[in-house]
Amino acid sequence: MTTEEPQFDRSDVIDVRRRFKGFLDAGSRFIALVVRDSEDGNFELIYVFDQDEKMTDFRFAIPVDQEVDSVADIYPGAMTAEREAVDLFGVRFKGVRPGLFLVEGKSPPEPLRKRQADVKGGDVPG
Amino acid sequence: MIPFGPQHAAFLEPVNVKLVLEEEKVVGAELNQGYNHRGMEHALSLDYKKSQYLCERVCGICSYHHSSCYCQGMEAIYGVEAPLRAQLIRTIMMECQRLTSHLLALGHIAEAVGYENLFMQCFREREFVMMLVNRLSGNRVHYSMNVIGGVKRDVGPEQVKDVEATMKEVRPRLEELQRVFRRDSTLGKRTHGVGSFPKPAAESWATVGPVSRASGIPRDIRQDGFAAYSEVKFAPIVREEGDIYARMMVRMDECLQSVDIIEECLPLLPDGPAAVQVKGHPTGETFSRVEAPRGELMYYIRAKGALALDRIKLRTPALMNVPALLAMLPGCQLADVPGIVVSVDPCICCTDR
Repeated sequence: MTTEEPQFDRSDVIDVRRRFKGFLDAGSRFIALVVRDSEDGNFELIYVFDQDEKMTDFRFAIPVDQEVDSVADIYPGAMTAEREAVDLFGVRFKGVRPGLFLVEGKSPPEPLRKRQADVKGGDVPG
Repeated sequence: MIPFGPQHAAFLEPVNVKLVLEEEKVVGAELNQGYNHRGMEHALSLDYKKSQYLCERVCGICSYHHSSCYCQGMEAIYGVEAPLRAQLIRTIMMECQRLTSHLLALGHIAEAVGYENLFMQCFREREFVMMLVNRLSGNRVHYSMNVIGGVKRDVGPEQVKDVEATMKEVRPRLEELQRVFRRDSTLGKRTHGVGSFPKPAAESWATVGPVSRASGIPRDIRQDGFAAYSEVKFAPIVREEGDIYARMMVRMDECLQSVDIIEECLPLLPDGPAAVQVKGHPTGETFSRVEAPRGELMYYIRAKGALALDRIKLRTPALMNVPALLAMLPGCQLADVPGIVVSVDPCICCTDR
C-alpha cells in the first residue's frame, strides 16, 4: 500500500445497519441517501436524517467495488434511495437489484458517475 | 395480476403498479417507475447560475418550491441572506403555489371517486390563484422570480392590493369547498377507512407532507422558519385516521391555512431591496429544505468554486410518498385503487426527475 492510496474505515461500512438503527432508535427520521464521487475517485455515501427537527448525517467513503449492507429490510423508506444509488452510480448494495429508473441494456449505465478529469477540475463536465 | 398504468384513465402520469388480485381484492402490489427519468441532477450540476431557472423545470406543480430551495441553499453556501422583503415574497408565492397544488390534488381525488362536478369546482377556484400568480410573476407555472440572493421581480403596492382582493374572493369559495369535502356522504363512503396508512407505517416508510400529517405525524418543515415562516403564526394540520379522507382533508384545511399565511405576510412587507448581489464562484456544501405542497423537499448542493457544481441531489417528497402505496394498497378493493393512488398526490416529474 502506498501513501497515495485512500484509507477506508471498513468497520463503518460493516456497521451501516447498526448505525442506521441507532439513528432510528434515537427517534430520527430518514430523509435521503446522497452518493457522490469523491475527489479520490471513490464513493462517498451520506445518510441524512432529521433529528429533533435538525438535519444530521453520517457519511463514509468506500471503494467503488465495495458492497454495502442494505437497510431496506429494517426501514422500507430507504429502499427507493438505495435502488436509485444502484441505478445512477452503480453502488453495490447487498440484495438490491437495479432497474428502478433505468432499463438494463437500453439506458446509459451509471449516468451520474464522473470521469476522473471532471472530478479534479474543469468547469463544465460532459 | 393486472396493471394500473403507465397509461390509465384515472391517473395520467406514467407510473405502473402491478396489482395482484383475489377476485376484487388487492392482495399485493409492485411499483415500476422511471418512465420519465430526465437526468435532472446531472443537468443541474452543469451551471449553477442557469440552474436557478432550470430547477423550476423539475416539476410544473411545485416549481417555485424547487427554485426557493435551490436559491436558499446557494445563499447558504455564499454566506448571504436574502432580504426580509424577498423572504416574504417567497413565502407568499410558495403559499399561492400550495393553493394551486392542493386544489389540483383535491380535484383529482374527487374525479377518481367519480365526483366530476367537484373536480370542476376545485379547478374553477384554482384558476383565481393561477391568474393571480400570472399577474404577479408574468407566468402561470414557472414563476422565474427567484434568483440567488432574493427575488428579481418585486411586488408593488398595487399588486399587494390585488393579492388581498384575491384572497378575500377565494376564502369563501374554499370554505364552501371544505364544507362539501367534509360533509358529502358519497365522497365520505368512498374515502373513509379506505387506503389505511397508520402512523407506524408512515414512520417506517418515511413519508412526508400531507400524507404523513394525515397519519398523525405533526411534522411540517415550515415550522423550522425557512423563508419568512418564522414571521407568521401557524400550526401543522394533523389528522389521525390515515385514510384517503384524512389526506384529502389535511390538504383542504391547508388551503385555508395558506390564505391565512398570505394575509399575514402582506402587512409585514418592509421597504427596501428585494435581492442582494452575490459575486464569484462559491465553494462549500449545504443541505437546504422547504415544505413543498407534497411535503419536505431537500436539496444537497456541493459547490467547488467553479461554474459546475460538484454534486446536486434532489430528494423530492413524491420520491418518499409514492413507494408507500405498496403499504396502502393491499387489502383494498380494485375500485378504490385510483382513489388511493391519487390521494398520495403522486408527482412523477418529481419522482423520476
